[in-house]
Formats: sequence, C-alpha cells, structure tokens
Amino acid sequence: MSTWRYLLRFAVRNLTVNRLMNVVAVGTTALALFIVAGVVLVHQNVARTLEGLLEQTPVILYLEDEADREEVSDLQSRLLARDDVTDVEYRSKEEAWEAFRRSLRLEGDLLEGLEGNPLPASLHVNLDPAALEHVENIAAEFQEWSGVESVDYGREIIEHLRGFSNVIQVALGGTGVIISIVAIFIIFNTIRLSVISCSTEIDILKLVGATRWFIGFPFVVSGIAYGFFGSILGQGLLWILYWLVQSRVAEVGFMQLQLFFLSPLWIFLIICLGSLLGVIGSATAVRRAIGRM
Amino acid sequence: MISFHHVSKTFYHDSTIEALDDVSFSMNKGDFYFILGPSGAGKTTLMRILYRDLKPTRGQVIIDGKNIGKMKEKEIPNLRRRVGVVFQDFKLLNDRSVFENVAISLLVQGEDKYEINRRVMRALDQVELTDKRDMNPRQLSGGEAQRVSMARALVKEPEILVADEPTGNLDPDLADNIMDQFDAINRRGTTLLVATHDYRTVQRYDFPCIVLKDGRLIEGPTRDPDHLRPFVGVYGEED
Ligand SMILES: Nc1ncnc2c1ncn2[C@@H]1O[C@H](COP(=O)(O)OP(=O)(O)OP(=O)(O)O)[C@@H](O)[C@H]1O
Ligand SMILES: [Mg+2]
Repeated sequence: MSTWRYLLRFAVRNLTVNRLMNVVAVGTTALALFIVAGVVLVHQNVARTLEGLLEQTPVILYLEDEADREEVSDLQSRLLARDDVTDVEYRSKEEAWEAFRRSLRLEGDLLEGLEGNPLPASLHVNLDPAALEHVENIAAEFQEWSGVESVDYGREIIEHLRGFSNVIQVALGGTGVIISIVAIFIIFNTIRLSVISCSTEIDILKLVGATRWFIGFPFVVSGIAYGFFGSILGQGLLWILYWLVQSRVAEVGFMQLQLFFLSPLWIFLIICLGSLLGVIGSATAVRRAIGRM
Repeated sequence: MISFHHVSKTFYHDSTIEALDDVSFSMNKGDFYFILGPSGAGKTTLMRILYRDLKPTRGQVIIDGKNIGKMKEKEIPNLRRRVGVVFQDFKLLNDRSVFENVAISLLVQGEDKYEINRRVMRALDQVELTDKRDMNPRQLSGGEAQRVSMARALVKEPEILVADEPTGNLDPDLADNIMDQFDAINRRGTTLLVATHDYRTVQRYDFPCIVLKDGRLIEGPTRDPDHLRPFVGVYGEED
C-alpha cells in the first residue's frame, strides 16, 4: 500500500458510496456544461455562416452619372492596386437596368412608362477575406473618392453578426453562470455529505498527523471527477443533438448550410471548465466540513 | 521536554466543568510517568491537550520549548507525528484490515510502500498480531484491538507515547504483558505517559506517578507506591 493508492482508493470509495448523490452531481454538471457548450456551438455556427455570407457579398461602389470612362478606369486601377482587393467588376447603367428587370421578372411594357434609366453604373469589388473585418472602414474610404456616388456593403449582415454576438454573450454569461453556480452548489453539497460520512476516518487521520491537504485531497479528486465526467456527458449529449439536427439539415438541404461541431480546443476548454467547477465545489466543501484540526 | 505550567481546562456546557484545574508538572526526555486518578479526574483531558486535540483554557504546555497551546494549525500535524497515542476507545476503522489501521500512521507522512510494509510488520510483531494482520477490528477481542491501537502509535517511532488506560480492558496477564512492552519501548528512549486507574499496575513498576482528582494534581510526581497508598481509596481499584 502506498500513499497515493490510499488517497485514490479513498476518492474512489467516495464515488461508490452514495450512488444517487453522485448521479445528481454528475447530472447537474452535465446539464450546466451541455448548456454552456450548446451556446458556444450555436454561436460559432451562426457566426461562421454569417461570415460566409459576408464573404459572398461584394462592396459596391455606385458611380456618379457624370463620371466619364477615364475616371472609371482610373478608379478600377486604383482598386486593383490595393492588397485587400481581389477583383473588380464594372457594371454599366444598362447592365444594372437589365439585372433589375430580371430580378423583378418583369416584362418590358410594365416599365415602359419610365423615362430614361435611373440606376447608376457601379464597380463590384471583392475583398480579400482577411480584410472583411475592416469592411466598414474600407467602404468609408471608397466613399471619399471622386466619381463615387455611394458605397454599399453587407452592413446588415455585419449588424446581425454583432447583434447576435451580443445577445449570445449575454445568454452565455447568464445561463452559463447560473447553471454553473447551481452545479458548484450541488457538488459542494455532495462532497460535504461524503466528508461527513467519513468523519470517523477523518478524525483518526487528524490524530495520527495528517495535514489538511492530505485529508482534503481525496474529496477534491472526487469533485474533479464529477466535473470531468459531467462535462464529457454534457458534451456527449450535445453531440447527439448536433448529429440529429445536422442530418435533418442535410435532408432538407436548405442553403449550403455547413454545420460543424466544437473544435477539440473548445471540447478541452469545456472539460477544464467542468473540472474547475468540481474543484471549486469540493475545495469549499472540504474547507468547511473538515473543521478544525 | 514536556512541561505543564498552571494548566486549566474548562468545558462550558449547562454548567462549567473544570476538567483540569491549575495543573503543573514536567518530564524529561525518556521519562515514564503514570497518571493516576479516578474516573472523571481529567486524565484523558490532560493527554488530549498534549497532542493538541484540546487547547488549554489557561496556562501553558511546553514541548521542546514550544508552547503548543499557541501553535499554528499548520504545525499541529507535525506535533502529532511526534506524539503516538493509544486511545482509550482505540479509534480503529472497522472497515479496514488490521494492517491498514496501523499503516495509516505512516501513510499520512507519505512514507513509501516498502518502508510502510516493513515498519507495519515490525510493529505488528511487537504486539504479537502478525497473524491477524488481514482481520477486521470487529473480529478482534478487546485486548487485540487495544494492541492494534498500540501498534499504530508505535509504528511511527514517536518521541512521546501517551496511552490512555491501555490495560483497562485486559485480563491481568495481558495487562502485564502490555505494560512490559511499554517498559521496553521506554528503555529505547521514548518518553511515556500512561493514564490508568489501576493501582496494581502502578505498583509493579518503579515509575513516578502523578495523581489527579477532580482536575487537580493532588500528588506527585512521586515514585513511592506506599506513599500513594492513602489515595488508593480514592481510586477504588485496589485488588
Ligand atoms: N468534551 C467535553 N465536554 C464537556 N465535558 C467534558 C468533555 N470532556 C471531558 N469532560 C469532563 O471533564 C472531566 C474529566 O474528563 P476526562 O475524560 O478527562 O476524565 P478521565 O480521567 O479520563 O476519566 P476516565 O477514567 O473515566 O476516562 C469529566 O467530568 C468529563 O465529564
Ligand atoms: Mg479517560
């Protein structure tokens, strides 16, 4: 028998004594981390989808009607000279009109009454994906150029992205924190009860010269085990749910929606978070329940 | 090495109980003292103060120059590793083997496996329990349980050994046997403090006695058993 074996056996015994309490502790932790991981998963998927949309949305420079050929080609070469621009496409007033008509699926006669062509010519600029972060600044810069009437870019998408991020962060902050506190409390209580149920052994350990650290160690290990297994269980459930949703999405085939699960780093971080909940809950319980030496 | 200076211990319950009242005495390294006194005299209380299970209400207890009443909590484990205790109620774990009950003393010090094995077997050999090492304390007689408690105290080779009524549950032969073992341990240099209300045991050895009654030290340390005879009535234990 060695010290480590004794301590680990102590921890394992804690985990086998009160099965129901263990199930509750692991279950609550699993629920907490299921929610946290779920929020992260949804956030990442939505963010990635919106970013994908943004990548497909060009920045459009609407040109002043007075701008002549020379001015336009000047603008074009200025754009192409930039590192953050991948390509530029010119669309004349006529092409814009054609596209508009096509998009409305209108026959010629309905627009017959209109005098002239109110649509401007435009330059469709595709940005390097790395530059998309600064798309607003870039658009503002283009706006200043002479010959440019106005600039359009995926502002709404960006606003959605931001709005969604904020909502999610609040949700993540709120739900995650509340459920995690509940999980810590349940772990605290479970460990407290198992400390109490071991009071005879703890008293003896104290009297033969065990340190507080030595006595507390097996209980903190139990607490970490709750957090560890809870986070694995929670993420396992989330994966099953993800798999169901994803196969449904694939069936319906709606958009080219490409879903993905949490990255290994996130999975690892959430396991760490679970273990941390276990440490906090059990260390507090141990500190309270071991009492004076 | 050990000295009590005007030590009092008061318990507050419905009424106040003076378990120890102004007790002073001192022992040198390697001494063997008996603490004699009737039930409720304060013997257990005195010992619990010695391994800092209780704090004195007043007065000082000094071990090797250290006031253990003022000791920080962090230092307590170290004190308890130096003081072996044979408890009046044994304090054994019934769901663990005899071997494991003894090993616990060394496990808390982080000794390695081989060292633990070697020393536990030697301690069990000393108290003649080698053949019972895999048994459960519940399967043991009172005297055997007593000796497991003793082995657990001995195994850490303590500088000080305190034994609270170690012969209370034993027949006279076994009591003598245990006392002889304490004698042998003391000869190897361990300081011993043995509480008893068994006057017969005290008479067999020429060791100083401290006599407690109602928490007060009424006699001693003295080596003169005949001098103690007037107190025998107090203990009510004379054969
Ligand atoms: N934790 C406690 N709370 C209150 N009173 C206590 C406590 N411990 C001991 N006492 C009281 O202190 C007095 C001395 O008790 P102690 O256990 O030291 O006696 P003792 O000499 O060991 O007796 P015995 O020979 O029966 O073991 C008793 O009156 C007892 O009731
Ligand atoms: Mg007693």
